[in-house]
Amino acid sequence: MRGGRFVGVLAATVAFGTLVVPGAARAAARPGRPDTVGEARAVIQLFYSPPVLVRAGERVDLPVDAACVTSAGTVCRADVTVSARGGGGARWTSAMARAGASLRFDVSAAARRALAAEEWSGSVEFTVSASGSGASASLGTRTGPLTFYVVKSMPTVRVPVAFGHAARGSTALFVPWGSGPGRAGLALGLESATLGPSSFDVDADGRVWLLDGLHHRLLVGAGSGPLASVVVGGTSPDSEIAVGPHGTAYVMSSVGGRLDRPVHVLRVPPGSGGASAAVTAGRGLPVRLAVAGSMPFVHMLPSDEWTQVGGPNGQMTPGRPLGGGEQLLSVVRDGAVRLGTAHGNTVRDAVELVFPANVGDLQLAAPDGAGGYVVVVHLWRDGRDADQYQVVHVSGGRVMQTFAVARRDFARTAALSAFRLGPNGSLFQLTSSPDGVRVLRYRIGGAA
Amino acid sequence: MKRLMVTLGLAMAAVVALPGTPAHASWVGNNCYVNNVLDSHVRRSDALAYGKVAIDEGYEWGGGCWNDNSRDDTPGQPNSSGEGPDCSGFVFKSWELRLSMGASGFTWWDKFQNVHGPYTSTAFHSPQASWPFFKLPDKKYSTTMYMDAFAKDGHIGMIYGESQPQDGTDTILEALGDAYGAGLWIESYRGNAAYSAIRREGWTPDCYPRCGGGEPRGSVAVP
Repeated sequence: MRGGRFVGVLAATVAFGTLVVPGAARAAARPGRPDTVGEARAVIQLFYSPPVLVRAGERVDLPVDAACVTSAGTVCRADVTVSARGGGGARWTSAMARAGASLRFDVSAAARRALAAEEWSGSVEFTVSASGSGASASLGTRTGPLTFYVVKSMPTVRVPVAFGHAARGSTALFVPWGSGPGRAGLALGLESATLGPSSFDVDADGRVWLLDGLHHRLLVGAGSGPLASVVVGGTSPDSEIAVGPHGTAYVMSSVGGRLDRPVHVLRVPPGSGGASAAVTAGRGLPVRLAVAGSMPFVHMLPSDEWTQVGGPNGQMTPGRPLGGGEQLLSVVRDGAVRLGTAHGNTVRDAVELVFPANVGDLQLAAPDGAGGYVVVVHLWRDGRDADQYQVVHVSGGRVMQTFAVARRDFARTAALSAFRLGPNGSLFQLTSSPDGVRVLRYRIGGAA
Repeated sequence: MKRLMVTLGLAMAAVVALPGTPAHASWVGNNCYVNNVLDSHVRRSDALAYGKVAIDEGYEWGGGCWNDNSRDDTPGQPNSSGEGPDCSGFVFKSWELRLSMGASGFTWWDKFQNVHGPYTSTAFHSPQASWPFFKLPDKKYSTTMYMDAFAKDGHIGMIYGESQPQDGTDTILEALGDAYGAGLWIESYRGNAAYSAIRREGWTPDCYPRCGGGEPRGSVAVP
């Protein structure tokens, strides 16, 4: 039925263009594809793969994508410069290359210098910039640089994985689809993603906050009790929510769209009937929202670093702020997950998790309060159409607990919003099925 | 008589094929026109530059026409001959596929031409051997390249860059839906077994027309 309707629309659109439009009269010749810009305005967009946490002696490559494109949809030419310095007092060194596919910069020398100045760990400051065709872009500056960390020792922990044996969890909240009270919005996809609640969080009392972006509201509740509803304007189907320790909720306007869009964060005080005015968190492609202490932080691309909402401009950290000047370093690289806790130039409790499967997105990473970490990582196997989330509690160089959780995503959530840690060592998962949204709870022993 | 029958046949075909509303009452009717040309030496960078223009330009199921004013000109008007592509139509035009199903080669489509092409997301996900795109053997980062796509039955999006965010996600260029439009999103499609990695065949290397240095190149050392 759906396919037949689609073919009908296809036929209509093709016929429409052919029958109705006096195409030849209005058609212009196709513009060429000059390698340099003529009259069209050029824009450069920079992306890179942040090293975040590397081991002493490793080669450190920095892949850089610099897309120089014009408003006419053609390619333009640009050069990319990477500058780096290892150790706070060291001098900056730079290298430049023409932008193009598979461009990488080797910043191993700066990493060596960083560790030479410190005993156990050090940091490298760096910037990435591109210019050409009348456009420019940069990530980090010499006064507000990007950073990665180098550690002398990082033990490797192999995580055992059993595919297909997923924990079931218990239902913490169920909300059927619909637009009325106690229901959550659903928009079925037509050659597009199926949309449901994009994000959720769990507060210190164990209440679930479900962000129903389609209906611009928050649903708050637990178990089978009644759901409170808070109207939050300015949300979209891909907004993100994080709840602070004192019950204040923060809602990020969007987690996608375009790179130069301002990112807004709304504050919903406890017990209030709505949100306060939005605070701009800067411009970029927002990835995650988190609360440390009582302050909201946003992780944004293309810098791929965290910035404080309403905080000083240009202050970014590669790791998620934990409060007290600490940050949680986490990165997926080469089939492994690396974790560490940084304070200043010092990194402690660095560990590398290796899995007998392909590693995808790192859904969650959090310290356990005792020098270990709880992570949820997406694993998949080639050629077998199998994937699952693996929950791992690692401490003291050992796997304390690990189990699999199935992906249950009838409707799309924001990419990194499927899992949250709750009080008393509980892990929560946002799932969906044809009947509605279900938040599942799993028990993690020893996790904070 | 024969001429009359042909005329009647064409008239009936138009009634069946066209939307019920007057053509020029829709956004497509007022803004879109036919303009395309056979193309060659098409690079991945050309596809990215073309696709980037569609960012923020709305979404239309079965659609394929947009301008470059960076806003959805028909927000909240699904299935109304409005602005924007759907997910598979966006890939069809960005990849410069041809209108005949399975045809090889490249055709450049003006963004103002309302064309979707014959491929649904399901077709992209499970291509036939003779089609000008194919399923990659795996979804490893070392296997995929930018402007390859991740497709499942119901949705498809293109990999925007080869760099990798620290969370192991991908930046995807996609037409995500009526509520989103077209744009860039962070996605976890790579690890999702429902998605396959799909590659368009026949790209010209990005270095064209100055490929003297050869591809690929190694790292550039920062001293």
